[in-house]
Amino acid sequence: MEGWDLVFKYIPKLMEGLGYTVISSVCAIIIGLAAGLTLAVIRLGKNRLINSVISVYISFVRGTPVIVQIFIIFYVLSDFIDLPPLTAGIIALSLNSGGFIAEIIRGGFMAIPKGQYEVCEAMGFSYLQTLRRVILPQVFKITLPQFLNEFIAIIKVSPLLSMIGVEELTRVAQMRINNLHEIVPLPFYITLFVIYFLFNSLLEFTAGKIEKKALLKKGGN
Amino acid sequence: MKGNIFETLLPFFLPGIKLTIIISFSAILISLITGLFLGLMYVSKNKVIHSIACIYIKIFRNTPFMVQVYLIYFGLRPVLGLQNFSAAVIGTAALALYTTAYVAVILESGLRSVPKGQYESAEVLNIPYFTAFFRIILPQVFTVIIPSLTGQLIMTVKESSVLTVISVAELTNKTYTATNETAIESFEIFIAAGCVYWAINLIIEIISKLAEKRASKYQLQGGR
Repeated sequence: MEGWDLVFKYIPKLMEGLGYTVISSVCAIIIGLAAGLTLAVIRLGKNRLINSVISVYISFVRGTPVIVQIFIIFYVLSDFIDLPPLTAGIIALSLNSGGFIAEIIRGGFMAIPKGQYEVCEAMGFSYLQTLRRVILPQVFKITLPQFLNEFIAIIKVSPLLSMIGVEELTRVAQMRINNLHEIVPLPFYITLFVIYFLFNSLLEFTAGKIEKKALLKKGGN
Repeated sequence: MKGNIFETLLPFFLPGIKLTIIISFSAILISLITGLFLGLMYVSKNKVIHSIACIYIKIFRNTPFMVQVYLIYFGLRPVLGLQNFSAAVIGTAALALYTTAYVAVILESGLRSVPKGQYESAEVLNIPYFTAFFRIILPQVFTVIIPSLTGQLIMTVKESSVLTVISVAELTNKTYTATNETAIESFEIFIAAGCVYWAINLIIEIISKLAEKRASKYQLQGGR
């Protein structure tokens, strides 16, 4: 079919786009992890007001489409400060994944028996030491599979960043197609589809390996 | 002034909400049927049938929905000669194809949760396979999967917002129009739209909790 040779010519450009996809997703997941962990730890406390504010935030993030969240952040930021779309996009995705990761980590905390906190207290550990040395390592092990899934989920919503003008993979392909009116767009879309598919399958495969390793370690304890 | 915001936005939001709900519910209803087929293929002992289902599920779950929509609408629609169908119809179909992959996995786990002995008992009691499947197995499967199905419905409502990229006039699209045609700050309009989505999903959750309560009396009690 015609158009395929054009696709091959643009592969380097597409890879550059994939680079932006990966950068924004990796940044989002790292900031999201920090935010989610912070929220989950604060929620362990007993302050009702703070806890309900966090609950509302998490519920909003989980109950609204990512596109809407991206637009809210984009418009809020562009009204007050002038930020490049990439930064706004990363902030939006981070806030989104922060909400989801907070829920994941909360599930991990709930899986840890309360007795462990008491034992640590009896052994003279401070609260922060208990968290850092005893509780969190276990939480991370329990939540690892969900955490890896969340990363794949972020990659899958990253094309939405093209709506605010971030030049990630989808937007790069889209711009090529719009510039070349005469070609049949199908090859470009198939290529785009296949790149995402291969990339996510690779991630899924790696995630499976990491999970297995973690499980083996757990069994060895 | 506060009341005014909603008065201004309502003409944009109402038709958008309507279309979002129609699209999401059509997609989930279609995918319940297709997902059941796919789920049955997935649990099939025939390796070829199982792999076909496996590949379908992998493809649709490992690619972004937005890219699927682009591929189907801009890539495949002209090639397959589907220009007569509107963006809303194609979009709903795309959403249904995508949701099918998720529903199939949910149904598969539900099907596996029913003990094998029930199939055998039905056979011993001379109940035809199809009767047994639809009257005995499936009702139990549905009571088990209500929570995951609710999660899926909420996800479908959220994913329907992606159809704005092919100019389907659902809620997100109407919200965007409102930012251009009203004097209200853009971010305020999108926060309002977010609240509408939020409300829709909270209502779905409440209804599902009620359904779960009612369904629980059909669930297996105690021993297997």
